Amino acid sequence: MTDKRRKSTTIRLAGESGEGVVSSGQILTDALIEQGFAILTYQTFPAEIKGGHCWYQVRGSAHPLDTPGDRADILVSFNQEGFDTHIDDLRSGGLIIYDSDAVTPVDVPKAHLFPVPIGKIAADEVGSPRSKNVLAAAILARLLGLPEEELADSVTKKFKHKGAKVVEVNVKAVTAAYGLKLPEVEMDFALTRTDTETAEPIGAYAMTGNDALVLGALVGGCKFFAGYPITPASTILEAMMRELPAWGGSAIQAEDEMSALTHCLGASFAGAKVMTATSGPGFSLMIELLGHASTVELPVVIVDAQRGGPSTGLPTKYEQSDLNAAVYSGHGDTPRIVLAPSTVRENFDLTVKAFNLAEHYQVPVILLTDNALATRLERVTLPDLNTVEVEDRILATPEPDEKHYKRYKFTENGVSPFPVPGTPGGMYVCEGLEHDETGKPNYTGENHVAMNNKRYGKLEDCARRETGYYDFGAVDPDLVIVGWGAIAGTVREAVDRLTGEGLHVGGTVITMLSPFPLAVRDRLRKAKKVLVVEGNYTGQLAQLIEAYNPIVPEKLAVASAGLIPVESVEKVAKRLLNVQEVQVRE
Amino acid sequence: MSEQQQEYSLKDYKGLMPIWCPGCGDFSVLMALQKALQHRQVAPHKLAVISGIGCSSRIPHFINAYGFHMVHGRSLPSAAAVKVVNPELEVIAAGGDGDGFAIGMGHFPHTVRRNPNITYLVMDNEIYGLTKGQTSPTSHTGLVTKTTPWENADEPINPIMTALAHNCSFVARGISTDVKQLTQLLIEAMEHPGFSFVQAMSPCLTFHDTYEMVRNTSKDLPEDHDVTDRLGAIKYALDTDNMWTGVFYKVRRPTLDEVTTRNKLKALERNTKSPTPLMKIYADMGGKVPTSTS
Ligand SMILES: Cc1ncc(C[n+]2csc(CCOP(=O)(O)OP(=O)(O)O)c2C)c(N)n1
Ligand code: SF4
Ligand SMILES: [Mg+2]
Repeated sequence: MTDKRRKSTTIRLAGESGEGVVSSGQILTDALIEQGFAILTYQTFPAEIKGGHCWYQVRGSAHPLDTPGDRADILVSFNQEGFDTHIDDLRSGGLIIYDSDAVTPVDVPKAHLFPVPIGKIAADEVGSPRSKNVLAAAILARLLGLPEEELADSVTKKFKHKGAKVVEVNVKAVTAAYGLKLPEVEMDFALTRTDTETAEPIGAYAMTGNDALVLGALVGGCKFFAGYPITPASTILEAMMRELPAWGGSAIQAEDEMSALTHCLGASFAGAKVMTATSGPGFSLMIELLGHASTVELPVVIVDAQRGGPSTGLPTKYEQSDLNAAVYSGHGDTPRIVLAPSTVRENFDLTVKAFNLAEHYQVPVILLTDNALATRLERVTLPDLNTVEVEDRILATPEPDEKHYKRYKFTENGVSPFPVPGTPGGMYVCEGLEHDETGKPNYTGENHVAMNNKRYGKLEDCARRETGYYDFGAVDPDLVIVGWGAIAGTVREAVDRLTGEGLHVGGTVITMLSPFPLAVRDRLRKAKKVLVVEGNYTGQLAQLIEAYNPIVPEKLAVASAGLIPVESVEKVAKRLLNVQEVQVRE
Repeated sequence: MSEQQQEYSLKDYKGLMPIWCPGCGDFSVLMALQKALQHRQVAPHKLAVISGIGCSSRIPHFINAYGFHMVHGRSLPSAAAVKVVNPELEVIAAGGDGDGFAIGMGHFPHTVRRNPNITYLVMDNEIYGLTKGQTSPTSHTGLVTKTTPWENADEPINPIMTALAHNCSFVARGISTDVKQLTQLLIEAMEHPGFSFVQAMSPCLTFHDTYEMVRNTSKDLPEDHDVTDRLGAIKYALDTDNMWTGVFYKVRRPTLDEVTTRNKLKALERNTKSPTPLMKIYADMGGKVPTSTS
């Protein structure tokens, strides 16, 4: 409940994996969606299948949201670890609900305690220990101001497929929750829809980042996908295996990531629009093939849904530390386009764009997302899917009896028409050795220079064509806060709050990391100060900015297995602006 | 078809001049492949030849076709995908023993399992030719090479056994010194629906001359060998005294492109009744839903 203008309530549930933490959060989230509220979620699972600590955060509001919220207004802990680990993240004056048979509360001066024998009520009163999740969700729904009947409806819908008995038990859990005596608190958690005229529209569809990305691929014309399971990209593979045949394409689960990208290159060579999706470890395995795609000039979209690295790293945690790998990896001079969506909606838009750019320029396009963006549920407004602009490869039209077709013909912008196998007269060898215009190996210095010019010429053209960033906040800012990926929402919220306090702060979100967007330079050069916020240890975007601009940005680069809080960004921004901090916002 | 009626002559399959060493077995393998293609009258523009890296993997340049020179060891997944995207193409994957059974070995059993309707031709010289004479996964135990200066202590890979172990749809071995038999094997391999593996023993005169070994140990599989008998085929594959040539095994399994086409038809049919979740959103947003007839 940070802001009068945009009231929201943030709820965090924590406990042992398998205890109903996530399902409870999802029941509440579904109910909020059905009631037309904006939601934005953040979840972190243990990397292990059974057991381990997990938590789920959902923020609800009548207005669109940028982040899942820093601190919780309400914390629900099913066990002691949930209580101990998260109590410090509870907002002062907030409420902690805990299972009084499983948790011994420590003294928490700033919070209200609400002990509920959740397990016991579920077992004895409701008659099913498994109804714990619905019970907890219903207590929360009640605090958020949802009427009992609406929640009962939502629960009925959700459990209908499991039979009348299950529905009955869970509706009973709802009744039990609404019968509890609530503690007295000053904070009003209820979400209300006020000033409807001024309210911004809330998206019609609640989707995860990965789902939006897959929809973007399908609308963008993807006809072939190959992938190997890896968190957090596995759900893209699963969705593609399910969806692609219905859209007239084919998907394959490969034996490793090299095979995945190799399959894609074969399919692209045959003329299809192709995509693969992985996370850091798999992306590392693909890098020889990425260079190959770049030099043989085959369109391919490669999704890297980042997680904590290096090595196996933090498989289920958010981090944005593959920027360098995406922008620079590979031996030789390897042109590629790198796009970085920053919202669920952009996961859709930039995936369509990734296909368009890959096909237009015949280059590999890397789509960098991250665990937070991949797994978070957000309400999105989709464009009219019939009018989304979709670009196709320029196809070659050789004479049927043409000999030594010039597949790699030099052209003004470096793009050569593409002969689809099966076309008479277009035969050539798609060649990873340095080659001449016909694809014949050629190792002369002169030819290598000309071919590098051709391949990099395409990127230069792309840098002219694409904006690659967006701005918000003050027009002529004293401080520009720069972000990319999931952290962009944090930047937006921080800029909102700071400008709300009358500070001249602007935000810039970079959505194209290669080629580096030209116009960003002006904005950054004009700002008195630049702060780059990103979820990695070394400040990879800050370094990239420094490489392209005559400025040395300040950085807030944190790799701590979670999103950087908006509060932290505000604090650093104020320090940079030398603003005396009046009080800590609560 | 008589010779005159044929649209494509042997010349039509010729690409650039091969750059192999004089006497290299790969010349004969190339000849056999071109003859097989001509016999089948495959239109060059409907032919895709995909290879990895090695002396043998240069082959796409020497054939008039759509060629794809992949990176080392990765011909099979791309060849399989070409066939999935365009089942009308004749697809040949080709390469060496190092390309296929060292760096690319991870893809071999899996491609066998998926059963794309392509032909995989391995030119096996039991050595790394292009990198100038290091031991290869099919080098025999005891062989002295640049990287095994004392002896090669490793057991060689048995490619025929590996293929049989995973129920490879078509398994054959030929030798570069018998172009006639190799041509016939390649014709059969291309005609067989499914993944067809042909191991062509193809000596490297420069770094490991196996001509004499091939001459002395190769033997046609007996006439009465039943190509549907997998255990019988395994017996011949395990024989260390004789290097049997001919078709070891043949089985009809659903091919990858048959399966992907089938899935597509199933899914397209369901589009109108119970669409997939994202197709449903697409339809809601005014998208034109593809159907099995569209
Ligand atoms: C990733 C990678 N590692 C190593 C090489 C070097 N290399 C090129 S060809 C080759 C071995 C080729 O042996 P084989 O496949 O048997 O082909 P041959 O030359 O004998 O026909 C090697 C190791 C490479 N090109 N790429
Ligand atoms: S080195 Fe060996 S394999 Fe390579 S071309 Fe020469 S003879 Fe053939
Ligand atoms: Mg070899």
